[in-house]
Amino acid sequence: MRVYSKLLKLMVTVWDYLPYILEGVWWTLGLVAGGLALGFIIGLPLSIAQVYGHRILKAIVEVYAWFFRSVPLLVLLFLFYWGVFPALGYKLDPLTCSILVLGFRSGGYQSQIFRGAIQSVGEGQYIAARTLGMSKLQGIFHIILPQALRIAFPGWVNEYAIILKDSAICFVLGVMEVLTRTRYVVMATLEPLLPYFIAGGLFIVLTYGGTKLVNMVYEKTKIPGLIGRM
Amino acid sequence: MPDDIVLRVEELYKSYGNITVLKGVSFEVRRGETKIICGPSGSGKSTLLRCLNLITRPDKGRIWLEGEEITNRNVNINKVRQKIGFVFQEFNLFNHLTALRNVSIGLEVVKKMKKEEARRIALQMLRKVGLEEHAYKYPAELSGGQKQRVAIARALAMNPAIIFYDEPTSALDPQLIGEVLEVMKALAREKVTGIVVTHEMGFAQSVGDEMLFMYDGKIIERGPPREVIRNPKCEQAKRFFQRIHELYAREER
Repeated sequence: MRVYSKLLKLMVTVWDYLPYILEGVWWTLGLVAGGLALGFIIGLPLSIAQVYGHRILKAIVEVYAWFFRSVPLLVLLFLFYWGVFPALGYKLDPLTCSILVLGFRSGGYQSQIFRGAIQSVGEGQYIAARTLGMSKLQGIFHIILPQALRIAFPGWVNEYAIILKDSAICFVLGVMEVLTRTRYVVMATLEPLLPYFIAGGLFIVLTYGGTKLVNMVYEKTKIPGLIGRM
Repeated sequence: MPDDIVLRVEELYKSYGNITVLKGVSFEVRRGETKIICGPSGSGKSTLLRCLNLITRPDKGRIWLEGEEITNRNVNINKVRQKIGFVFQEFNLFNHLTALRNVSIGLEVVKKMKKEEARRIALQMLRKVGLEEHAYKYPAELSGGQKQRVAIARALAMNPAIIFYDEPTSALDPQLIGEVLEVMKALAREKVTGIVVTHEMGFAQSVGDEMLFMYDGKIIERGPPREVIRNPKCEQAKRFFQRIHELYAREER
């Protein structure tokens, strides 16, 4: 009976804090959307440069991708928040800095997702486009990318799931995302079990729901007859 | 230069590393002519075609297309390629586009034609290769022979001065070769200028105006196809046609 009433009390307390934690979902989604979008903006041109660019350009992209894929996210966050941005004269707020770092890093990963996809379209179609008189860019935009982006879709969905889970680390800078808020609740209630369970549950819902949603878009853009290949 | 010469090639050289693939190739193609190129694999046929539309840059030598020297560095390469149709062994259709869009996209993107106009021409071209009813299928839904006919329609739609065919039937199952050759024959009879790299000797003899036999990066024999095939003068050509003959004899048995 004593245990039961304690549990009940705990649930009531945490229930009070639930809206506070849930509000963190918006921040988490902001981190993810910002990071993914920036990563796309960086990663796609990098992948094109890596496949079609000059030798020097290729080397630069490789170094970029190698750096951001080799250094732990935690180190990157500290490096940019305390080191790089202040050194450049910028004092960024934690959210902006986190989005930028997530984006830089995701750009490295996404460049490799898109590079593989571009290469799997095959050189033949690109050459065919050029023989029609298309310029390099016309060939890439009208022929290669529409196919490469579809091929990259599963890898890209995976990147969503990864960046979503990685975004929790941004609590170290005090971004008001799910984990940061959960920790505050734990500190206030001195009850770790239920709040962390809730945080974990929220990430499961976001991962599952997000991948489901994106996969629905993927199904809609499939090319007839090419289903097996991708 | 006489007006009816569409393509003139002068002393073309190309090496990859220390392997010389083309060792001074020269010839001319007149308007309406169908030129056949054959020779053993590795003799430089495909490299020659790729050099002719500058997909690969030749190291030395000059090429004129309709009187304009296209090996000149100041020439707009994309403009030049619009005038040269290219049909590949592996078709290289655009997999994300329907047959119709495969044919019309060059007109839209390169020739900046209006969508309806490009569509109209594309349908006309598909009709010409007998594929009008497959216009809305995707490449993966077509047979090899149909794919290659779409590829020919795609090249034709640009209204090129000349069409290059790089072993257009080599990747096809035997029963699909006929339909592609029929289309090519019809075009040759309509006096669409073309260079055809092929081992189809029947095709060569029925519509070829001249045959160039390549060996080790050079044209070592040339003449009317019938003549070259039945009565080759050089040893290499004799051996080559003998082997082709044996191969076909075996298939017929």
